Amino acid sequence: MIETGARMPQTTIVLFRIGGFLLGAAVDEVEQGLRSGGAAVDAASCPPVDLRELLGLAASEQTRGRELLLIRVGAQRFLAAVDSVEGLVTLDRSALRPLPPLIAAGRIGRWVWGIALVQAEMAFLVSFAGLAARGGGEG
Amino acid sequence: MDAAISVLVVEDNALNRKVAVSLLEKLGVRAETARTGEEAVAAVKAKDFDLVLMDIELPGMGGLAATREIRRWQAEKAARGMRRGNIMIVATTAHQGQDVRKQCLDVGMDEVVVKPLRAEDLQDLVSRRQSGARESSLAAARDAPGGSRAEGDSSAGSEKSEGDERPSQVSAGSDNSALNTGREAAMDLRQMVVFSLCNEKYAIDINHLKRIVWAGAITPVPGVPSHILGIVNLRGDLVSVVDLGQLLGLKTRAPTGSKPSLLVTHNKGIDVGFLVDSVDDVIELPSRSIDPPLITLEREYAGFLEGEAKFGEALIAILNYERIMASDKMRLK
Repeated sequence: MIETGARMPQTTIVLFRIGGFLLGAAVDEVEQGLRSGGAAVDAASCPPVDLRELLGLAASEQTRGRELLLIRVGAQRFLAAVDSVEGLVTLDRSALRPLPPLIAAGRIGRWVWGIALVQAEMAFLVSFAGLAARGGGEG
Repeated sequence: MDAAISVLVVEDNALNRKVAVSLLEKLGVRAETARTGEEAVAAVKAKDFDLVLMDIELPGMGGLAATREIRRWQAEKAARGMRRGNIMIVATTAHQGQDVRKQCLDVGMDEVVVKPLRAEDLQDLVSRRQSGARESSLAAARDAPGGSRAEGDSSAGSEKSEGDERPSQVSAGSDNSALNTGREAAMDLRQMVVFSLCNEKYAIDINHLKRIVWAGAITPVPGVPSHILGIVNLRGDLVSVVDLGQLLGLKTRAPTGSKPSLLVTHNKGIDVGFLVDSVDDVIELPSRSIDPPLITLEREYAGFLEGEAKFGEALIAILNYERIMASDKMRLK
């Protein structure tokens, strides 16, 4: 085992699932988690964003979209349907890795900037910053 | 003549052990092996080794702890006036970071060699260690009654003095030319890792290999082609996993009963693990025994074959690794 040096800085991540995938986002980018249909959200000011489409999930990948994430990018807000919000996790920066180069070069590399090692699982770390440039909303 | 040296290869992976021993044998060096740090320490205490190739990640006592123990034991012997064994300990590791290197040197290792072990690296180490062994013999002769007193014990052999020469340059004469001829013949041999896919035998040049591991839990990745199975966590290193059978267009995957393995390869800074049904052997093939391929893959994949060779009763398809890595299938968009 490689011995690590001084204590690493930490980062807090919101974990959520879509299909069979564990995903994560920086806590600064997620305003809150909502139960789908449980809260009135102004659709005009919070356009929906389809994470399935962004991440290229196969059509066969079943999702339920029972919960919503209210995402904040600068002054803009977006709503994303997810299967479940797993909660917050605080990790040492040493638990974060870049995507392996072969995979980073693909479509996923546009929206996923790295991987968090959360116990035995890998969480794909989504960056929503690109949504603002994209104009937001479906499609 | 080359000074005979004794080498201990400490490596938990059986195939990697075999590769190291086989590369050393090509250099005319016989090696002994240990699978754990504990075995390594016991071996060093039982026998004088000139060179220890120490994997740093071992089950149980790791390579760093084993080295620390060996150096502690040596220092104890020296303190009691017993001649200190002059052991060169070289870390073998897949990690390239400066922090790993520092840890290795801090515990008393002499050098760090990044895996995969290459023939040139081993030849260099062996040559320098042979020079060190020769120096030690001369020092011992000077220490003997009637000899001149040595100024001090040479350190672990990692430093090369001005007058050191490579073994092939040490002396002229028929012995040496025979040695060179043998080495030239050895240079014509290509070392290949043979593996199975869909009950057929394939091989790739061992120089592309970083390590071979059992295929553990592979995390699927969204939005990638089906031949990219996902990512595997190899002791903290995340490596993309490619289904080699699918990549080669082999549609039928027959259950083999053996445990799938990952051939972790390295190309231009990118590690990729290729999933195969089993890793079967490490062999040496004379370059001239590789024929143009008669084995056929679908046209789309034909460029992935370099050739084929008979090895015993088996016909082995030799893969062209560079072409595979340069193919569109390995360049995601």
